[in-house]
Amino acid sequence: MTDNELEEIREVFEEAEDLDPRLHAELRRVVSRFLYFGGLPDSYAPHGRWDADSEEEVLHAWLAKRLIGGGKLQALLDKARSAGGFRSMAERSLRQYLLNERERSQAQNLFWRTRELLEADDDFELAHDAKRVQDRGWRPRGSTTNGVFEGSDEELAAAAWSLGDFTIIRFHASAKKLAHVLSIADLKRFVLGLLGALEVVLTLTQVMRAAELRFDLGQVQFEELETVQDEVALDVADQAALQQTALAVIAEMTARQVEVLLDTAADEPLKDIAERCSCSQATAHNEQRRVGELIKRYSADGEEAEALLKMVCDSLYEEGETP
Amino acid sequence: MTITACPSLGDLIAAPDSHAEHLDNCRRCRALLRGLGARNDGVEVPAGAAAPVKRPPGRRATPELEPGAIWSFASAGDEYLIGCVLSKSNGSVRVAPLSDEVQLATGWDVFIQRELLGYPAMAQIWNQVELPEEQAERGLAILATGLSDLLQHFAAAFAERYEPPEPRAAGAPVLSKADPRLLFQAEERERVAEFTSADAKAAAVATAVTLGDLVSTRCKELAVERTVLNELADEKRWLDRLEEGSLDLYARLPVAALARLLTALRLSPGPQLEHLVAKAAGAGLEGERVRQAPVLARRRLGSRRQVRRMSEQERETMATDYARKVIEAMRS
Repeated sequence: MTDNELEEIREVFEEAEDLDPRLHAELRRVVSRFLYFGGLPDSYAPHGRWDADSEEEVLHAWLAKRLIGGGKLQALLDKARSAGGFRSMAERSLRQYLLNERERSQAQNLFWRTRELLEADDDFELAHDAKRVQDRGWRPRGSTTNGVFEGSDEELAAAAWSLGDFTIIRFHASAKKLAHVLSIADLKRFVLGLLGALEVVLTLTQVMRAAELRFDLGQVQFEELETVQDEVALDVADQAALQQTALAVIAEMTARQVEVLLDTAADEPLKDIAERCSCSQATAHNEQRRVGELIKRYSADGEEAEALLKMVCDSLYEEGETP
Repeated sequence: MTITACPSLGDLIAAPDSHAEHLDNCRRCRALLRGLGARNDGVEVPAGAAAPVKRPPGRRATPELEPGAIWSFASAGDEYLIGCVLSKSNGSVRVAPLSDEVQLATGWDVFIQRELLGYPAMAQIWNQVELPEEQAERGLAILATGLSDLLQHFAAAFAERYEPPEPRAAGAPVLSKADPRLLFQAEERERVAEFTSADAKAAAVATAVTLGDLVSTRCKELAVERTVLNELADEKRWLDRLEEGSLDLYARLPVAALARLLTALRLSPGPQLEHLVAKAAGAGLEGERVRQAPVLARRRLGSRRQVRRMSEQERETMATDYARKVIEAMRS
């Protein structure tokens, strides 16, 4: 698609009933290239490997759920100034869609793990019993609070956001099972933090609603919950998988984040990093935070994060450069 | 260190030679190319691929650049800034940028319903920016009066450091400095700042220094036969003379004729084009003279009317008026 074609497509898009074939072709090209050129590791593919079937599945689902269903295609057309810009934004949208889909598939798992936490962990106690599991009320052990939360979604969301960063685990190189959305420590911090911030009794339904608002995981359908989802075995990851993941991390970084990462790894002072990157120290610090979060998301634990970080840096160093 | 925005992964891998200059300055892209390897994408797309899904309804006709309108704004980069006009004065507009990342809305992000743009969005009252009219690219939609008033209400409250006036119309408030949405806001501030840099302003006008340049470039892009275009107006060789800068646009090309010509070239009737038309018309009025009526009603025998040069103010008014009418004609 050329810049002129983009302009023509944009003009007619609002009036046309159907998708312009050129636009459809361009979106298909974005999907193909992204999947085959290593945009995401193979473990994100439905059957462990990207192929023609999974490409077709991804294209149709992305169109239906996000681009057309979610209106994102109109947003892309509004924002793109050039055909190259359109492809860059479309690729970012595709990446986010695939990552979100994976995270959302973990929402059901999160319900069971939260229930397990509340029932088994000594730091929580039952405040109100109920016939249905999700309606039981919980509070921190030793708390005298009795009132169940009756506030709005906004209050729930505000309290959830005020708890700070949580690392949503997406994938880790040595995984033999599907990664949990939150580590057990983070899950406990989330639930205890929520109870402390609101100073109320919360039901499991309300905790899950807060998680849905905070982490954009999609709604848990309580009626469908029958059994805990079985853990799925993945291929054992090795150096090649770690390399693949490192490249996926780099693809998700900006050029400036790459420079900040290498300077940080070389123990450069923040002031010098900021000067070299032509930004403020606050911005450089924010970029460090973002890179840190990105590495953690792709790792199950500290050890893996370290290995992944090293692989990312090694992939970035060029001939003649020493780490 | 200056790095231009990175191309998509697909573009980089499929055609690295096209991005040679960028690669010289971007370690990230060099690393990706090394790790993933350049290759032909070999993606064969069947001709006339079927359209799979019907879209939701479209939007209203192109709005004026006035408060309550949603427009796209250009900079030197590959992305437009979409924003809602809050106020307009002295050739600039104050804009609340829009974002479609509504899951990250805070108390000062007012929700814009999906039915308006075709996707849910939020107006970032906390991230307002002043932009010259020349950077306005394309009108997208117009807010209903109620929502437009609500945005003004929010903007006024923000300016006075009050609390958000209608909490339900916006996202959940920020209660702590640890809130990760603040990191997103830092990113957004930086994104918007690119549209106010000197480069952005220069780029908005520099892409076409004169109307003649713009028309000439467009002809080449569309592979339009010049003889065909030259014949669209009564004025002979109008296109050649416009490019040369020797055409008195105001005198020789009626509003309707120029509007027809610019529409045929598929140029957007926006503030930037209006500015170029006004500039071209003004240049043609240089040296024009006007006849001045005698001070006394009674004419003396043999007296001649005074003739004087047109003032700059008069030239500017005539040129601006002409340009405005051309744009209106293109929009009708």
